[in-house]
Amino acid sequence: MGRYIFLRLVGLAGVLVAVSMITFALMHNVPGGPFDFRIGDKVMPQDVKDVLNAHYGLDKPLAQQYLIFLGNALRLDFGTSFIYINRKVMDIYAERWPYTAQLGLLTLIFGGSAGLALGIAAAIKKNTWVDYMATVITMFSIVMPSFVLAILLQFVFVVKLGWLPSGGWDTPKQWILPVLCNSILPIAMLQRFVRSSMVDAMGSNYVRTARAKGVGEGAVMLIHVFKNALTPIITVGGPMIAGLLTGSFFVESMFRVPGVGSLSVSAIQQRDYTMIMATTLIWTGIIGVTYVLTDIAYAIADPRITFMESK
Amino acid sequence: MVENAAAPIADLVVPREQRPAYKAWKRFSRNKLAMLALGFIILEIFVAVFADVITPYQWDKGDYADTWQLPNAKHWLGTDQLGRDLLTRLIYGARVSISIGILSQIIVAVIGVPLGALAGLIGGAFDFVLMRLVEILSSIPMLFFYILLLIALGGGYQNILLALSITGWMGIARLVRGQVLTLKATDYVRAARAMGATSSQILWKHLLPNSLTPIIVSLALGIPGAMFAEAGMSLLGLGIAPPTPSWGQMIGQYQTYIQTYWHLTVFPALVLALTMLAYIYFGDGIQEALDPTVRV
Amino acid sequence: MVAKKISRREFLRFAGLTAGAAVLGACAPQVVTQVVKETQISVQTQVVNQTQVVEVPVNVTATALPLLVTLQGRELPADAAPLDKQIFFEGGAAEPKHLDVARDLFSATAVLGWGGEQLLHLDENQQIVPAGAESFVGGPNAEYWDFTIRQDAKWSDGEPITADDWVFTFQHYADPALANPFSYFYADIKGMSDYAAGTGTKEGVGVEAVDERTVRIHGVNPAPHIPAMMTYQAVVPAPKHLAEANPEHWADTMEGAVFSGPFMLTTWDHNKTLIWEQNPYYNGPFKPGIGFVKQIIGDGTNWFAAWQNNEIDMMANLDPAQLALVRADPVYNPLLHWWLNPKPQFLVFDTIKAPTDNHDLRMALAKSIDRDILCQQILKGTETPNLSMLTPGFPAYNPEIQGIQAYDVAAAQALMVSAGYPAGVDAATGAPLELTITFRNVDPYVEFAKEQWETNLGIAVTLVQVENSVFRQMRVEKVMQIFHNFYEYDFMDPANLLTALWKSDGVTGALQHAWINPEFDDLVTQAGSEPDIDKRIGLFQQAEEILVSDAAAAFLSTQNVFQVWWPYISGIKPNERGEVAYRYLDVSRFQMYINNQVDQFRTATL
Repeated sequence: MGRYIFLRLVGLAGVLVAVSMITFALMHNVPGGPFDFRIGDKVMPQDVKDVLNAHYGLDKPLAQQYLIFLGNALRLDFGTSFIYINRKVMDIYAERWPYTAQLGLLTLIFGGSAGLALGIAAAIKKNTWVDYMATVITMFSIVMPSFVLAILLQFVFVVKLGWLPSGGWDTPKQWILPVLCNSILPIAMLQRFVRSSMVDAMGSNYVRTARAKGVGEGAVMLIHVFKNALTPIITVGGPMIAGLLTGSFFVESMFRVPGVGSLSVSAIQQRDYTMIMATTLIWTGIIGVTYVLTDIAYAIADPRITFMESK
Repeated sequence: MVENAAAPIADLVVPREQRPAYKAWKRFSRNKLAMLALGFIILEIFVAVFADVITPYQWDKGDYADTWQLPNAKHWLGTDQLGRDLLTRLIYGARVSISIGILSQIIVAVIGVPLGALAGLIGGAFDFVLMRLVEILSSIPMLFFYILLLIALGGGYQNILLALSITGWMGIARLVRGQVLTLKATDYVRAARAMGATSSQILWKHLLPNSLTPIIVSLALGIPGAMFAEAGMSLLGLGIAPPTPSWGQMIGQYQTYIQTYWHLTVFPALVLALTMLAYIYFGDGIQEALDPTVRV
Repeated sequence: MVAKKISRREFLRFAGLTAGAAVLGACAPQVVTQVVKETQISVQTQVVNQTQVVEVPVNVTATALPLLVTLQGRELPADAAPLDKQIFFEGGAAEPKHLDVARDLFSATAVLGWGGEQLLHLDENQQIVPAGAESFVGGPNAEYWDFTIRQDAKWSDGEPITADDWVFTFQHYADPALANPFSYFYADIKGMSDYAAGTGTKEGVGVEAVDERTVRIHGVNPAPHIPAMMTYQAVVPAPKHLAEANPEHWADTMEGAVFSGPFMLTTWDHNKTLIWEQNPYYNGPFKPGIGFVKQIIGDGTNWFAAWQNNEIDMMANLDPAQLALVRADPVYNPLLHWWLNPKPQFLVFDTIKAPTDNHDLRMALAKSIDRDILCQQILKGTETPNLSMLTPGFPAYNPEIQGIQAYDVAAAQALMVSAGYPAGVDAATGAPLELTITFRNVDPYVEFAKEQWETNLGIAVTLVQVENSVFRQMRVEKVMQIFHNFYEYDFMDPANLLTALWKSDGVTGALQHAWINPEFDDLVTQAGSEPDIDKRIGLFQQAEEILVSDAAAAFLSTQNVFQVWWPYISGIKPNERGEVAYRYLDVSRFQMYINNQVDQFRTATL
């Protein structure tokens, strides 16, 4: 197992380097630059732009710039942001990261438990109206753009009822709407997968055998059904956690949560080169590590799974 | 009995009831939700194709006296900023979404299936390189990739298809490769080899037909994914440009007006959601029908 | 029961006190007639007390309650809320990069408006009034301008604001090591462009201290518009005693939070809020009524919802949907204010390349767009038709040229014929003429223009959408055939809108616009150094007429800013036309105060 993890991490490092090259190349080939937004919608004369380019080393050949970047990145120094010109990218990220983490944790707790509960309920009450209702609501939540739901929630609770504030992240009251909106998709996905894997397990041979042997329903549920439903839950849970850790662009900007999710898209739009590289690589890294952890979780949950691919 | 023994196998007529396709269809038709979804899909395609005949108004000409109208008797779903009928634009928007959804999956299949099959069949260096490529491309955050790609290429119909293809072939390639690897080790393929069949014969006669189920299911479920991706890109202003209607573009264009002119965002979102749901249930139905051991 | 007899004198004293208390409660400094109830008690043994209430009118002169006075010494009107409620909650702020006000211009307009004080301000009638400078006078032929800094003007840390600060400030703005992208704004000040480009020196910057309180600003040429330039929100002083030692990083943290204006920053909660309090050392003419400003940082939020929920006090710029909602709502409708913002919107033509190098074609295009429909039906009144670059109320605005590009389909079609495209058909190809409009985001102007041109002229128009940054790049390179542009004024002078944007370099065109017209260039150059005001206006008007007649662009509209604020905000002075508005670039923010209705609406605290 140790060797496997080591190999996976080495692979991940390789992937990170490759991704960094692709992103770097793509980023610099996109028209526009980081100085376009410095003066709002007014015009920046070309000679001023040239001075700025030289100042930041953007006039060097691309390969050289990449090597400089790589050298610094290996020491975890992603440089200074082009937009927040006096602050280091990692500092900005570290400052904003706790908010995303907090939002993610609350979403995991709320969404995770709600999704599990709804999935179990739907599986146990299979084919009753509870099941159908849950299915329809779930499917709808998956396909409806999350921000439409978010805007509607905000309209009802903030404007019409005035119960909740429109955003921020200081008091618990401000946590409710963002966590709710962030949880919609996780709840839906979790519910769907839990239900489907439990239904599969409930209809399987070994469960039928256990029931025939006279094992109590509770024990059947817990020992056999739920444990075997674990694998698909990990399948969904892994990417879900990765998504939560990287932050939701939309929920964060809509509800003024100063996290890292809103950082990535604005970095691209404003051509903040250093920030783009940092967020892309961090994101890739998080996803990669999460997948490794997911595979390890699989192995623990189901000893039948081996994880060295055979040719 | 000599005559029967000499009869070539290909001449045997299988009764209709025993043919796998017919059996699959029977199973599918028992699934009410899937049938409903199929009906919706067919209806939508019909409406999109015959939009010119069906729609009461034009999608690009508005009545300037009736701008920003909420749903009323004259315009059932209301009008937009330039007085164009929303229902008409939604119907034409279906053309964009459905065509991108289906076309992108066809392209993805054309790229991904051969690559995956070859990788599984040949193995070796080709397989190694391909899998590493798949892994790297899959690791790039999709949102970033789309945005960067579309900014570099410019938006528009063809470039969206291109972006979707570049980012979509990996899944199906991996799938087909896995199938081929599994099937390669089965007895009947080994028997076929022993009988002297070539690799390409094995590929076309045995491996691919037996992989068909997961390929079809993956493609069917890929359609709503592609639709959603197009909607997302149009929302960000990188996709289908106005005045050509696209549901995602309409959602994004009017999302700030949801308190007053809610119809401009809610109806496109609803239609997108329902369409995606239909394709998902359709895909689930196909999966169940073709492979009854998998329960959804 | 024995009831004690109360003497009449005691009794009247009691009544008098009651009356006095009643008067204090009314708090009105005028003679009032108070009604006082007197109670007479007569006592008799073994007889039940009887009381009789008699109403006796008494004339009392009420004494006025002292008015509230702010920290800086401004007296607030009688209806002002208590000082701890004088908070202004502002939404939609952006996270500032640093506190060097002038260098963070467009990313954090939040910081600018409240913290710095320019030499001059614009009042509610858009007239120049003294601010950081108590007076100014021009040298011969407006070659230079002397500004006398206000007596005892101080920074928020107590240090005096001197002419040396201002000399340092301009050098700081043009410092090539800082690469300030806004340095081009000061191009008309001697030495600024050269220094910023690296070809000049610090000492070459034409700003000098005549004495401790007088700063002299030299123009490259005679520059009559320098005082107008000094009213712009970015032209605020930088503290030499802090910034000179560390020009790039002195303002990165709260340690560098030193400001010249009425407010100073006291709290900076990164990415969340900014809190401003009154600068105790400010002694200028614009002492604010507001005691605290709390700015909430956030971009993607629905600020209108936040306003409805009483989290912020004002919506300073309503979009068409919000405007419709406010108009239709009986509670919000009376709260509506509006003002005309000089922010012309126009469709720019590439006048150098074919086919848009054809004047008649361009004029036909300009004359076939119905601005009334655009502004009323599509934009719901948030824009008003404007057929020139300058707008009503702007200096040198000329109402007589408004008819040149006016909507006239028949005339436009006739022009198409003379342009060589009868009924929109390109004689060379036999098919409709094809034009391309490039745009970004969502743009109703462009969609409307396409429809109008196709319907009214019979040509074919293609729309190409590009991403925001890409659009800017293309705009700088002047590679777009037709595109939608706008420009919001910086200061009230025609040089800002005409010269800066339309004077060409003779080769590629003007700053963003591919148009070269030597006659126009001569006129604006002449006007730029003409010290006589009337002559100057005349020259600019001639130049604008050329601009409009040559159809360098199809001028469409200018912005009508609609605003709402809750009734507890008072104090903004109406202008000559009676309009009360909160304009970003004038002093209205310092005029306002919170009145005592605030508790009915707002519960938020700092």
